[in-house]
Amino acid sequence: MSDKPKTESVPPSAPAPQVTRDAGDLSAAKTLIEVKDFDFFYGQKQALFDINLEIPEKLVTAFIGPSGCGKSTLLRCLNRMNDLVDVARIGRGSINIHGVDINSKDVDVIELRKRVGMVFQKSNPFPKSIYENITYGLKIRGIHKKSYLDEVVERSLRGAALWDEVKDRLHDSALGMSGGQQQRLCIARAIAVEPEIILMDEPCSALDPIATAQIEELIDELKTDYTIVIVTHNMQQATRVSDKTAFFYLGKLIEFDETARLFSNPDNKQTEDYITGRFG
Amino acid sequence: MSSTNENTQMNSDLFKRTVTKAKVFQSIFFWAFRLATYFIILAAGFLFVKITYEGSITLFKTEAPFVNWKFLSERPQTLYVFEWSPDSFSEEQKEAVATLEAETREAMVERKAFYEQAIKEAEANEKTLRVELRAQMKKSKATRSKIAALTGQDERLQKDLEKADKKYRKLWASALEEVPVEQRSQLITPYKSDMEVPETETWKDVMAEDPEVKAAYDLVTDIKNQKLETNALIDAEKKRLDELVAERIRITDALPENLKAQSEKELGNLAASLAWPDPSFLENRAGKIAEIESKYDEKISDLTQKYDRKIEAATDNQRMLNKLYTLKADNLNRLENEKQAKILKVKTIEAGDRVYRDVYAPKVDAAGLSAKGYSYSGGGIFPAIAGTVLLTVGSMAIALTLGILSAVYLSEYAKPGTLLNTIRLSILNLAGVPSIVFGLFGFGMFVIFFDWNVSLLGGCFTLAFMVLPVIITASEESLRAIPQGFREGSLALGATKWTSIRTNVLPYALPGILTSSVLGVARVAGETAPIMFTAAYALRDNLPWEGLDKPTDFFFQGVMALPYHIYVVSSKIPQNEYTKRMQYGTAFVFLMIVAGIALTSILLRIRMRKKYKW
Ligand SMILES: Nc1ncnc2c1ncn2[C@@H]1O[C@H](COP(=O)(O)OP(=O)(O)O)[C@@H](O)[C@H]1O
Ligand SMILES: [Mg+2]
Repeated sequence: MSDKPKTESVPPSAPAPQVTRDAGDLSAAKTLIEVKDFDFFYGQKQALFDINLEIPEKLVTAFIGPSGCGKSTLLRCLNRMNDLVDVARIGRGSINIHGVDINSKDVDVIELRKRVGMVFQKSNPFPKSIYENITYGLKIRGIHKKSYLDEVVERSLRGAALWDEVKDRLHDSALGMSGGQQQRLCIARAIAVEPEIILMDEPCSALDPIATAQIEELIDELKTDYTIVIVTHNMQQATRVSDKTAFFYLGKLIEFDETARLFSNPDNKQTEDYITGRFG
Repeated sequence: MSSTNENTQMNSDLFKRTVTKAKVFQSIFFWAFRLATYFIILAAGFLFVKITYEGSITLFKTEAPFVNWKFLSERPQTLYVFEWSPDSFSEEQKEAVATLEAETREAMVERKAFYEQAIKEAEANEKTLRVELRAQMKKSKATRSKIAALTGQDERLQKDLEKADKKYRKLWASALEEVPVEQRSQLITPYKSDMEVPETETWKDVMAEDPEVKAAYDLVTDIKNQKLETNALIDAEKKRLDELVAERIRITDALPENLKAQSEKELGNLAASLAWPDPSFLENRAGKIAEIESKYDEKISDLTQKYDRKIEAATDNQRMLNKLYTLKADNLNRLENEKQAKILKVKTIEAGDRVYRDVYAPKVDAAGLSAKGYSYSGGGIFPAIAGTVLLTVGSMAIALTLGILSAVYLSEYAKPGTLLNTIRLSILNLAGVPSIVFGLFGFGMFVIFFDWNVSLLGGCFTLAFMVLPVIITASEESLRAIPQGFREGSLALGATKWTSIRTNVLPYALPGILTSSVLGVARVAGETAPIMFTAAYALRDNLPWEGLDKPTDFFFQGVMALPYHIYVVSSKIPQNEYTKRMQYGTAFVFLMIVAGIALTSILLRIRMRKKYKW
C-alpha cells in the first residue's frame, strides 16, 4: 500500500487541493438515491432544509460542510438510522432508492438496512472475535453453515484489505486491533452482508494519516462494486476519494457537483469561501 | 547591615507555621472523619468477630471431620436441662437428690466390685476348666484308640477261630469217611476249634493302663485256653480213634472172609462206643462262650459310654464358659448403662421431645424434680438452611427474570417522557419501602388473595418484589452503559431491535446486572419481615421435599428459613449457656451462606467480564 504516492501526500492544510479524479463519464452514471424536497426535524429544531440530491450508482459521493450542518443527519436518513432518535421526524419530501420511497409504510426497515450498510465515525467493532464480528450479519439472518461463513470471512477481510494482517488471529478479540484495523473491520463487516450502498460517516476522523490513506485506498477499490456515500470534514479527503461532492451549510445543500468542478470552479460564493478555508 | 538582617528575618518568617481558623477546623474535621470511620469499623468488626468466634465453637470440632455435621444436618430438637443447683431446691428435693446421688454412687461401687469379682472368678475357672478339658480330651482319645485296637484283635480272633473250626470239620469229615454211614449221626457234633492269639505290645500297654481292659482280656484268654484245652483233648481222642480204626482195618484185612462181616460189625460197635465228645459238654461250652462274649461286649460298651460321658462333660464346661463370657459382657453393659442413666439424672438431658417423654420424664418425675425445656437447642438447623436456599434461589430467579425484562423494556423500548419518568420514580421509591410492608403486601396478595397460603412460592414472590427495584435500576444502569455504537452497528447490519438487544446488548450488560444483584441476593437471603407472614414456619419437622402428596405441593408449603429462625431463637427462647451455642451457630452459618452466595455471584461476574470486555 505504501508504495503508492498517495499515502505521503496528505498536506495538513492545502488551500487549493489538486483534483486528480477523472470526471469523464460521470454524467452517464445512473441515479441510485434520490432525495427530494427533504425537510428534517429534531423536535422543534429543523436540521435539514429542502434538500434535493441525486446520488449516482457505483461512484463515491462526498458530503462536506462545517460541523453541525446536517451531513450526518442526511446520511443517517438514507438507511433510516434516525428512526432510533425519538425526537427525529421528517417534515416534508422523500428519499427514493431505486425509485422506492424508503419512508413509506410498506418498506421494511430491516430489508432497507441490509441493502444500505453503514460505517460509523467512531469505529464500533463488537466485543467479540474478529470472526464473529464479520459473521454477525449473516448469523442474525440464520446462516450458520461453517464453510460458507469461512468463505465470507475471507472474502470480506480481503475486500477490506485486512486479510493478511489478521488471518492468523481470526478468533482473537476485535478490540485488540489498532484503530485503523478496527475501522476496516467495520467496513469488512458491512460488506460481508453484500449491501448495495455503503454509508460512511467520517470514517477516518479518529485515525492517523497512514490508516487514513489505507481506508481511502480501500474506498477506491470498493467503488467498483458498491455505491459509497462518505461524510468528511476533510476537503483533501473529499478530493482524493470522491467523484461527486455535496456542500452543506446550516442544514441546506449549497452546492452539488462533480468533485473536480466543485473544488476548482465553485458556483457559489459560500462554497468558495469554505473550500479556500475562509470559514468553517 | 540592618537591611541584610531584616531580609533574613523576613525570609525565616516566610514559611513559618501559623495557626489559622481554617487550619484548626481542618484538623478537627480530619480527626472527626477518621474517628467516625474507625468507630464504624470497630463496631462492625466486633459484631462480626464475635459471631464468627462463637459460631465457630458450635460449627467446628477439634477432631475429624472438624465440622459439626450434626448441627448442619439435623432437625431442631428441644434441649431438656436438669440443672444441678442445690441452692434452688427445697429441703425434700435436696434430700431426694442427695439420696439419689448417694444411692447411685454406692450402688455403682457395689455393682462394680461384684462384677469385677465375678469376672475374676470366671476367668480363673476358665483356666482350670481348659486344662482339665485338654487332659480329658487326650485321655479319651487314647482310650478310644485302645478300644478300637481291642475290637480289631477280637475280630481277628473270631476269624481265626472260625478258620480252625472249618479245618477241623474237614478233618473230622475225612475221618468219618471210614465210619459206616448209619453210625455217623452219632459222631457228628458241632464243634469249634481255637487257635493261638499272639500277645502284642498294644495289649500289654492297654492292660497296664486299664484294669477293665485287662479283665476283658483275661476273660478272652481264659476262653482261649479252655478252647486250647478242648482242642488238645479232641486231638488226643482223634488220634486214638485213628489208631483204633487203623488197627481195626488191619485186623479186618487179615481176617478170613467169613469173619470179616463179624469184624465189621464189631468195628461199628466200637465206633459207637467211642461216640465223642459228650454233647452235653459241648453244649455247656458254647453256652459259656456266649456268656463270656456278652460280658465282654457289655464291658466294652460300658467303657465307651464312660468316655462319651467324659467328653460330654468337657463340652458342657465349654458351654458354661461361653455363657459366663456373655454374662460378663451383659453385666458390664448394664453397669455402663446404669452409670450413664445415673449421671444423666443428676445433670442434663439432651433429647428430642419424644425421647424425653418416653425415657427421661418418668425418672425425673419419680425423683420429684423437673427439667427445663429449651426449644430448638437440642438439634440442628438443616430445614432452615434448606428453606433459605430455596427461597433465595426462587426469589432471585423470579426477580432477575422480571427485573431484566422490565429494565430492557424501560431502557430500550419505552418512549421517553413523563410517563416513563413517573414509572422510574415509582420503582426507585419502591426500593425505600420498609420490608415489613412488603411482607404485608405479600400476605395480602399471595397468601390471602391468590390463596396460596403460607408457602414457598408466596415467599419467593414477596422477596422478589422487594428486590425488584434494585434489580431494575441496576439493570437499566448496566444497559445504559453499553455503548450506543453496539446497538447501531448491529441495527445497521439489518438486525431487528430484539436481535440487537439479545446478541449485542444484554450479554455485555449481564455482568453488571449480576454484580448489582449481589446486593439483592444478600438482602433476599437476609430479610425476615417479608417471609414472616408469607413463607416461614417457626418449626417444621418435614424437609421441603419430604411427604409431598403431589409435586406442586412443593411450592405451596411453608418452610423454615435461617433469618426467621434467628429471629425466633433470639427472641422467643431464653438466652443462656444451653441456647447460646445454637444461636451463635445459626447466625454464623447464616453469615457464611450469604457470603457464599455473594462469592458465587462475584466469580460468575468475573467469568462473564472476561468473556465480554470492551
Ligand atoms: N439526536 C439529536 N437530537 C437533537 N439534535 C440533533 C441530534 N443529532 C444532531 N442534532 C442536531 O442536528 C444538527 C446537525 O447535526 P449533524 O447532522 O450531526 O451535523 P454534522 O454531522 O454535519 O456535524 C446539529 O445542530 C445537531 O445539534
Ligand atoms: Mg457528523
